[in-house]
Order: sequence, then C-alpha cells, then structure tokens
Amino acid sequence: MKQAELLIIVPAFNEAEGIRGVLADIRSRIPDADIVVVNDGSADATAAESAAAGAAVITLSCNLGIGGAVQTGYRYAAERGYRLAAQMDGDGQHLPEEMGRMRLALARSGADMVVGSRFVERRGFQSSRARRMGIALLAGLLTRLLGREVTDPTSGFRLCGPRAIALFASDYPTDYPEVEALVEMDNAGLRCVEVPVVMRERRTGTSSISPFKSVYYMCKVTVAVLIAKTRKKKWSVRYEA
Amino acid sequence: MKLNLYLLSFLLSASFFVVLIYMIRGRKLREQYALLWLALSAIMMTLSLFPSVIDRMARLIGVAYAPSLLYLLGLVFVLFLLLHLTIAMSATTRRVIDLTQTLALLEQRNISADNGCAGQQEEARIKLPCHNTQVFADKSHRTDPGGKTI
Repeated sequence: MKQAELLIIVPAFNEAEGIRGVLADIRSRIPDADIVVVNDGSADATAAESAAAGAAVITLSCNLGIGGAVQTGYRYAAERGYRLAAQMDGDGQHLPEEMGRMRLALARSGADMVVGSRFVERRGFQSSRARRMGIALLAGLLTRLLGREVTDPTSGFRLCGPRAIALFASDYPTDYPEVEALVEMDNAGLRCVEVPVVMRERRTGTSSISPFKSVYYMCKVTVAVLIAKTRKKKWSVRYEA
Repeated sequence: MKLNLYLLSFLLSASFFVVLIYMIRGRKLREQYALLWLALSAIMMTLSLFPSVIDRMARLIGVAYAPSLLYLLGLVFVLFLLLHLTIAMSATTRRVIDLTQTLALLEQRNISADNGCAGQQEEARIKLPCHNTQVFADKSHRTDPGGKTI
C-alpha cells in the first residue's frame, strides 16, 4: 500500500447534504492526497456519504466541537506518518485548487504552516461586514502579539508540515481553535505564513457561529489568545523529540 | 431552649456524617472528595458541641459579630469547593475528549482492517461501500441527535 504524502482533514458536523460533492471536488483537484473525514458526532448521514465518496471516515461518538475534531485528524496524520496535513471545511468554502499554491508556499518558505487568507488580495467571498470587523480586530491583536502581519487569523484553510502536525496532534485548543492555534504555534517556536486565497460562500449547511454567539466568540477568543500568549516560556529549556 | 437548638444542630451534623459514610460505602462518592465533606461535617459537629469556639475565634481576629464569621467561613468553603469542582470537571472534559478521539481512531483502524482495504482499494470501496456505510449508518442513528458540545 502506497500512502500519499498529503492528508486532507475534513471536519464535518451534519454536512450530509453537500459532503459528497465537496469530497469529489477535492479528490479530482488534488488526486495525490488521501482524505479523512472526521465526523463530529453528526446526527445525519455524513459518515455514510463520506464513505461512499471514498474517504476514510473517523466517527467521534460524541460531538467534540471543531477543535476536538480537527485534532483527531492531526492525530491520525501523526499516527500514520503523513508529512503534510491540510484542513479544509466540509461545506465547500475552501477551494481545493488553491492547495497547489499552498504546498508551493510551504516548500518555498520553509515554514511549518501555511494559512489561506481571504484578506491579502481581497478577492472572492469576503464574509459579512460585521464578521470582517471582528476578524480585523483579531487580526490586529495577533499582529501585535506575534510581531508579524496576520490578516486572516480565523481561516480554517491550513496546510501543516511535520512539526506542526506533531504539535497539533499532542495539543490543540478547543471551542474556537483557529486563532489560538496560531499563538500556540508561535509559543512552540514554529513559523507560519499566509497565502492569498479565494474562498467561496458556503454551499450547504449553516455556520456554527450565529449572531448571538459572535459576541461570545470575540470575548472567548480574545481571552484565550491573551492567556495562550502568557504560556510562552522564554526562560525554560524546551525538549523536542 | 438554647440547649435544644445546639442539640438539634449537632444531630443534623451527625446525620450528615452518617449519610456521607453510607455514600462512600456505596461508592457513590469518591474518597478523594469524601474526605473534604467528612472534614466539613466534623467541623460542623465540633462547632455545634462547642459554640464558644466561634466566639473566641471572632474575638481573636476582631470580628464584632461572631455569627458573621460563621457566614464568612461558610462562603469561603463553598467558593473553594466550587473552584475545586470546576477544576475537576475541566480535567474530566480533557480526558473525555482524549478518550473519544482515541476510540474513534481505533474504530476507524478496525473498520479499515475488516474491509481488508486500509485505504488502498479505492474502487472496491466505491463499488462496495456496504460495510462501511452500514456500520456508520447504524451508528448515526444511535448518536444522540441533540449531541451537546462538551
């Protein structure tokens, strides 16, 4: 059995309606990658649909939320020794044809992770105004904290190299993990770069973040990021395998 | 009248103690937490037997109205207990997440081994997804539809 170099992790919660099309799209655009769907305790036929589309399926017996689901994918990648692992949403927001450029960027920059950003070139679906404002606030916070430009900290379109896979397999934030994960990487001394990508509006399903939740989202993420930042141990010796 | 009240509070504390012992015997309460509760009930019994202890303590730290010291101690105890429980719950959540992930990964490995196609027979799986599909279709019904995020 020849295992691919790249694993595409697709976390999915109740995405039965569109998952098959999304997976087929990924398979045809990135034929040399393996796909694993992490079914986060869906109540619908997400798992069956994904298996029918030819992806490996990991079904979590209860809903862990996006953080727990994505981490399962990274654990799978680490266990099986994939060199690269990408996470893409199960709703078709992330265009698989961008993966080629992301891989190129990862190889060229020598970074540990590449994040697809909507806001570098501002093309494609740009999200609602309120959301853009929230993202801009978080981006400003992160730019300051990490000391380098971050434009799309909430993007879940990411490609990880071996060191980032190992880090996320052992420790990944829960609840709304994307922003916090960037700080965690920085704490561990890993580097990440952004690549401009075009995103699509979601085709099916609804966003996990409703207007009511977005205030909570901003507070939780801000506090989590600030606390995560204090975890950085500048003085201690870090043991790395 | 006064004596009766103290006797009553002692009886209450003592019965609390007995209930605790029964709970621990029946393994409804882990010893780890039980010790805390046992200590509390011991303190309650002591105070109801020797109420002057509170008065003396109040005088010692300069609290004018002795019973308010009792309230303060009670409140502090409850706060600590709550914090302790939240910490314990966070640890449990972390473990549940870890276990759920490990279980799911093992299950996936098991199923792909059963299929005899640990990822290599794409065509076979597309044509004969029955095994995979069946297993997961059954499972999706069993899953709690309103699955709460931990």
